[in-house]
Amino acid sequence: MKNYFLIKNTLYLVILFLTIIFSGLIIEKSNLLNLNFNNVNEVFFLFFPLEYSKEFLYTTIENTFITISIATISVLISTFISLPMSVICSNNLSSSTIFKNKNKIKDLSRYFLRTNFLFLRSLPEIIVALLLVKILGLGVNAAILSIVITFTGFMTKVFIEIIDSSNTVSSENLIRSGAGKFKVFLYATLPLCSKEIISYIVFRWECAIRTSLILGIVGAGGLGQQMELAIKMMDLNEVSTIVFLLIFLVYICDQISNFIRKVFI
Amino acid sequence: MYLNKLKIFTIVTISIFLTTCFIFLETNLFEVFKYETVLSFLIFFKEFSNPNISTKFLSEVINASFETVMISFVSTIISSVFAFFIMIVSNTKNFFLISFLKLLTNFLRSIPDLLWGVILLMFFGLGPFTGTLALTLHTSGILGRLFVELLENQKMQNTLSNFKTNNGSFLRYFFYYIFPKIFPQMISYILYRWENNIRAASILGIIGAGGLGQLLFYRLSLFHYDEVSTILFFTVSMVILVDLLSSFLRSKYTGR
Repeated sequence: MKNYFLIKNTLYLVILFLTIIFSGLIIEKSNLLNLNFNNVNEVFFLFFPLEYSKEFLYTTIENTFITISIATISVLISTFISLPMSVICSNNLSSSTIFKNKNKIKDLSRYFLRTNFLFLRSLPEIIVALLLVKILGLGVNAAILSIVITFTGFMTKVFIEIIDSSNTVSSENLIRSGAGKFKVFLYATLPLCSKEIISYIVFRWECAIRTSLILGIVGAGGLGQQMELAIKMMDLNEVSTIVFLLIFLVYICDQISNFIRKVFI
Repeated sequence: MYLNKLKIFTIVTISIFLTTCFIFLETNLFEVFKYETVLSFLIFFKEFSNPNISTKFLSEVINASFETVMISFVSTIISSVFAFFIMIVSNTKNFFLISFLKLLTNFLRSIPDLLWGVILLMFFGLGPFTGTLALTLHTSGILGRLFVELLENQKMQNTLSNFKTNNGSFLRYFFYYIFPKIFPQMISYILYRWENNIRAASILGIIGAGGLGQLLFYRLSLFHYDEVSTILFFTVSMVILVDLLSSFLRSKYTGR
């Protein structure tokens, strides 16, 4: 027990030490000691007053709708891909685990499919978007495809976990009497875990809106791209309007998803 | 799942919303399957499949990945300290202070870290400090909200009044009764944010805030795909290593 406390305290000391050294290195690397703070003052007052001309507001609202629709379409597509894939990959709905006939080839192929989805979700979506913009060119298609690629990985993993942790009585009975995988999923498993699946899809929709905001920086359309352009042109009062709109958008999406959850659960 | 009027209403509105989204975007998603794009995909993969492993470049990449780890670590620690102070201050009956704290955490939380970086770049210039500050602001918003919720769930009026009759202040009550209870949960939240932060730090360089992302963005702009594949390999392995470390620490401290 004494040894345990010794290890714990040394760990805290190491963390403290590392923090101090790392922060010192960061400050040294970014040349912060030569910083001129008059600059900070000047830049800060460029953010005000807010820009609210009619033309600007029209384009911003159009871009907001583009952002929302990118998020919605990509979540829809990734749901349509990941639900069947999770049914195929789940252990609970497979006949080989229920009959215990040790079909090694089927188990291995299922495992192999699952690891494929690990590769999909290992890269951050913005890096995928960066690569896809190089291949497909600028535009909405790259944003949608990059969100679909990463979110399919996440959603398949979570759906597999939901299906595997659900109650198996009815699904096992159906499989024993000879029903196919997708029929069993539709009639036995989906009624049991539809709430969890719906709430996860709604949660992913919120995440997708945030990511599609970020993806604009890479040049994939929407509100983020407008903000990036405004920063590059140093129109900082436009930037502050966009930031307030962004906060409002995230708040509204929170409320909508809460409403959907309340209705269905 | 039986259907009532509200459910039917929401389903109809969601489907109308989806169709308007498809009409609004005016893109043809089937362009992805055209001949030229498939060809460019194949060329990309051909160049991507032989990574550059010269010693000079590898040392550069390792330097950058160390910088990424630095940024994520420091920002996580500093923001957890901030969030801890927010949690302690939030235990007042002053209505304005509470609503101010709520507004502050919501504001910090709702701007994504990359956009924080873009904004802070104008103040502090290029370099890892900007990335650290952006991650710190975003993470302290999230952690502050989580910690405040933890405190609110743990408060029991019974024990608090017991402490007060025995002449104990709130801080004593906090450090002797609540803190040991919520410590494992706090550790797991901090580790979870660290996992997120290392992913964010590896992409923060795209806007010029140091780390692996900056290297990636430069090499990608120069179309050096062999070097890009090396950088991506390092990014993924770094993220996996941090995930393993954090799961080990979590099992050590929270018993889960």
